[in-house]
Amino acid sequence: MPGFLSDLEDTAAARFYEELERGRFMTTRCPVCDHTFFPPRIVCPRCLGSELDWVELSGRGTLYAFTQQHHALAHRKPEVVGAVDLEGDVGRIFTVIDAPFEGLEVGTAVKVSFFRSPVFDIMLHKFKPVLSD
Amino acid sequence: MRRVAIIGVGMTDVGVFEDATPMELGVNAIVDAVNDAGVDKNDIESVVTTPVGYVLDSQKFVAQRMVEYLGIPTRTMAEIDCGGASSLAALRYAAHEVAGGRIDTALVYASHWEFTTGQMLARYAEDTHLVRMANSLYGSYDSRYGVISPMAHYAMCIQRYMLECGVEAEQIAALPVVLRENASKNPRAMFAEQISVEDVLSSKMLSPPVHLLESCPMSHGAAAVVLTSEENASETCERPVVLTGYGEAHDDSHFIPSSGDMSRFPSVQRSAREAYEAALIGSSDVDVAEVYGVFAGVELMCYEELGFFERGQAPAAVEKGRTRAGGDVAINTSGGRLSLGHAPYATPLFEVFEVVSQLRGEAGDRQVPGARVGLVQAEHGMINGSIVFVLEAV
Repeated sequence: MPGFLSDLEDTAAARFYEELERGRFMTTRCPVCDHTFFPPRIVCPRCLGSELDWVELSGRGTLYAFTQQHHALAHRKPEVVGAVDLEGDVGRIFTVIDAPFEGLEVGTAVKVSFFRSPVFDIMLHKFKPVLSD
Repeated sequence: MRRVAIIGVGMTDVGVFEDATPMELGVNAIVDAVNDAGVDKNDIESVVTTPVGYVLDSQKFVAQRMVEYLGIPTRTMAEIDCGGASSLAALRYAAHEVAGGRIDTALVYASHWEFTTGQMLARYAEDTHLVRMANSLYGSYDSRYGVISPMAHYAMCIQRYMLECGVEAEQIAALPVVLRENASKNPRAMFAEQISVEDVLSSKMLSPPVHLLESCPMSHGAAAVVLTSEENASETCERPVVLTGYGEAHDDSHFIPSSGDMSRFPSVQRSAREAYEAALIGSSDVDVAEVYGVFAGVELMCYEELGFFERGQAPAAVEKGRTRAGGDVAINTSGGRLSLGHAPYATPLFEVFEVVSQLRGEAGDRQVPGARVGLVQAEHGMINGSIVFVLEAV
């Protein structure tokens, strides 16, 4: 649960990471606006309505940009991180990219998977290029 | 509303001063500014400041402690926080008080003291305060992924910009060379040693495409500004600098925007447009500008958003010397964030100090001949918001 020492700023973030523990990549949707948005919130950023549904995302997206992070305190160093545009104009997510930096290209189709943080006992998301067939 | 003038400026050297305290740095800058303004300290009716750092153990009642220390009873006092734009937001607050007529003489100052990156990395693992502060800066969806500075975010902005505008690494590397040359003429700057494009490109790759020498240092320092009405200034001050335009805009994003281009900074464009309209000028009228660029690539992008150059054209303009003294517009004559040094809460007032020095003709070896119209710009987050002031010699 969110709290003073926690980095979780609301109960929606707490639920998001609880769902990751169960292997589900979810966010909130406002039925009034028919608006699904990431990150999840306790109110809709369009109408401020609080009657929101939790919906599972496809986990697919497009690599918008990426770099390497040297001070990657929770993970191996350096690691590839990126901004992924989630399928369906849901939003853009900052994440770990599970691929070597060299050869990676902007615009690559990626898909979510989960891993346990080697430092903190929490499940996190990462995205990996989808091999085209 | 009365027009508002800057009648005094002061600033410390910029550098890493591990033994200095934010109080002492602030006092030194304030005394300089008050002496420069030639006012009696007891004439100051308003003291407006900012927090002293992002990660440092919180210092509370900063303004109240300072007025006690200097013995200045006031009619207005505030500590304004708006990230990297804070001290321009503080200047806006004080300027509005003077413009409205309730306050005649106001003091704005900012003193920045912060752990260096090395100190932070050394302490991070066992210091829950640092973890908590990083978490509060970067939130539930970034901090868990190892983010303790916005470098990765900015690197991705620059990657998109290079890709979309066809900008080469050598072109970005030309900017730090110009800034270092400027800094070598500024006795307050943190770095003075000349560098070459080769030096920049062979410096450590911090977060691709950002090299060490394309990145600002984290510095300590303080600056202060004394304001009064233009009418008062015309009686007491030889070379007042008038605030003729002001613009401010904030996007509904913090660091990575949930949609839209990361290669564009709409708040910079919006804040600049508002400031130009208020001052009844265009971007081409600006003689000297201080731009809040914390990485070389994003600094170039800001030059374009401010309207100085077309999109994608700033790198070529810098290479051709169009941003040097004597060019189209002299930008970051102080040495900029990369070479003057960067102390975020104080940085916008370092910028004001430089532009006021230029407009008064007191900038020494780095003086831009005939500078009359100046601009300062500051931002917060990953340029999620921006404030612009136009300043003019009268």
